[in-house]
Amino acid sequence: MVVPIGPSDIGTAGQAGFGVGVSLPALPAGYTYLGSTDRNAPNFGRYLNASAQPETWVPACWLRVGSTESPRYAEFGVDAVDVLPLRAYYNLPDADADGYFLHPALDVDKQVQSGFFAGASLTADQLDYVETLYTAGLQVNPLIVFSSGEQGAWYDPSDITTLFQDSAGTTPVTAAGQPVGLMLDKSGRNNHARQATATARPLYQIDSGRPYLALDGVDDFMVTTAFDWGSDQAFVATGVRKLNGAASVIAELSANINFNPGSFYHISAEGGQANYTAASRGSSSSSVNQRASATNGGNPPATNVFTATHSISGDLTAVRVDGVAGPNATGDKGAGNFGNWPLYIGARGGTSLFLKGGIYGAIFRNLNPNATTIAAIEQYLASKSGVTLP
Amino acid sequence: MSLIFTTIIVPAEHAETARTLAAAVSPAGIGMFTTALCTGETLTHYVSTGKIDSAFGAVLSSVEIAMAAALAGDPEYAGTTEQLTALLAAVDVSDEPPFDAFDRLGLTLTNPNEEPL
Repeated sequence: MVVPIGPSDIGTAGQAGFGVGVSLPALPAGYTYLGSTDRNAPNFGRYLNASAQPETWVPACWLRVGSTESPRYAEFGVDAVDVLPLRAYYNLPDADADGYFLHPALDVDKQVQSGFFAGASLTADQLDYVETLYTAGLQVNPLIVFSSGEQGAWYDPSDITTLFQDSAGTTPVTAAGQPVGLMLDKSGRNNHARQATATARPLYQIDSGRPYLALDGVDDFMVTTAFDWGSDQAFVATGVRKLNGAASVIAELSANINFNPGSFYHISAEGGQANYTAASRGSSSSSVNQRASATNGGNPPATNVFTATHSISGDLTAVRVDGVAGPNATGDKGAGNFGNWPLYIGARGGTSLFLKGGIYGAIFRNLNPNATTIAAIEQYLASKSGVTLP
Repeated sequence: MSLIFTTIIVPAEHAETARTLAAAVSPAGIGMFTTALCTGETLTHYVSTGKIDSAFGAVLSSVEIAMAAALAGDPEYAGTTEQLTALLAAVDVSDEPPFDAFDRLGLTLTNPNEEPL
């Protein structure tokens, strides 16, 4: 569990500013402090919006009530309340395992809500601001990047409750070395990854306390059913381990970018063992000018955080490895959106370019985040992968 | 369910027999033997490797067991005793890591030669 101090923390019980009294690093446009930035000031944590109406900043937080493990239980019994900042847990199951939950006002259909509460809803600008706030810290809950209904997927092998040995999801993964036939998508979009063939299932493994999906480089891969990507942008972030220098698919939208418009791939060791490469295209034929490579991954065996953003209309693929940007690809991608394709993990179309290595986490989103959010996602994946970012 | 690790390599001429057998025995066998292996530059074998049900693993121990398992899983299984006999005589089944088995048999994966883009 990581409990860093940051701008969206709930504060410390018993001290000034606890709960609503949280100082924002900057105000959204049109907002002014009602009081001051002094935690001891009466109106600390309260603001005037653009219509001069008072609002209160409420950070999302984890609550635990009446736990016998609470240090307050002896005094307050079933009324004992414990509070932790949102970043104390990466996901709801982890928090639940320790008895913590999100207050219903902060948890709408498992999508974290927070921000200025004048009523029950938030404006788009406010949600964007909330995202920036959450991602400004050392850790981020990836759920937040799907909070506006963005299409995509989030795979988290460190959350064993999302893994099943069979593709139907009847036999849960319970220990290292077991096959993974189903990996649930935690984004809320239900783009679960499956493998029906027994010998092609990756294994759940743990290295230095870090769980990952181990792929054998021979026949292992997972794939989703086809889904409509719904935009011409794509953000892909992976924590990945490569064990050999063969060009290998980490993820590819569609069975083969060369034959399918509106697709992308992310590959390790293409054009050099240290490389990570991404490419995408719309209606244009595939071309090396659409391909960007970062060369700072290190020769295998190596573990890295590999992220990329794609824009078809912007003719741009931008790659980063361990937080360091590589040269962009600006070749013409044509027009259109990314298509209605399956998403392959660990192989090209299930038939070639098999990845020998591991995946510690992967996030796919049909909207490119801002630079702050990308950095926070990289930090999140680095913590899952054991990578130290510069 | 008891799982065992296995690496199964079949010569290309018996690959279709192996595929239909695996698919008949279990739905989890559908899709096996699609990764090609080469001897030098020539495609000569196909491989499947990973964790499988131990009962499934026993299928390749004899023609009788293979035929019985296939018919139990798919009453319309059309493989012949002759095909299964030839398959079992040629198949290489081991508990070795796949790349060790490739080295032992002088085989290589074909995919390192593929250009991604």
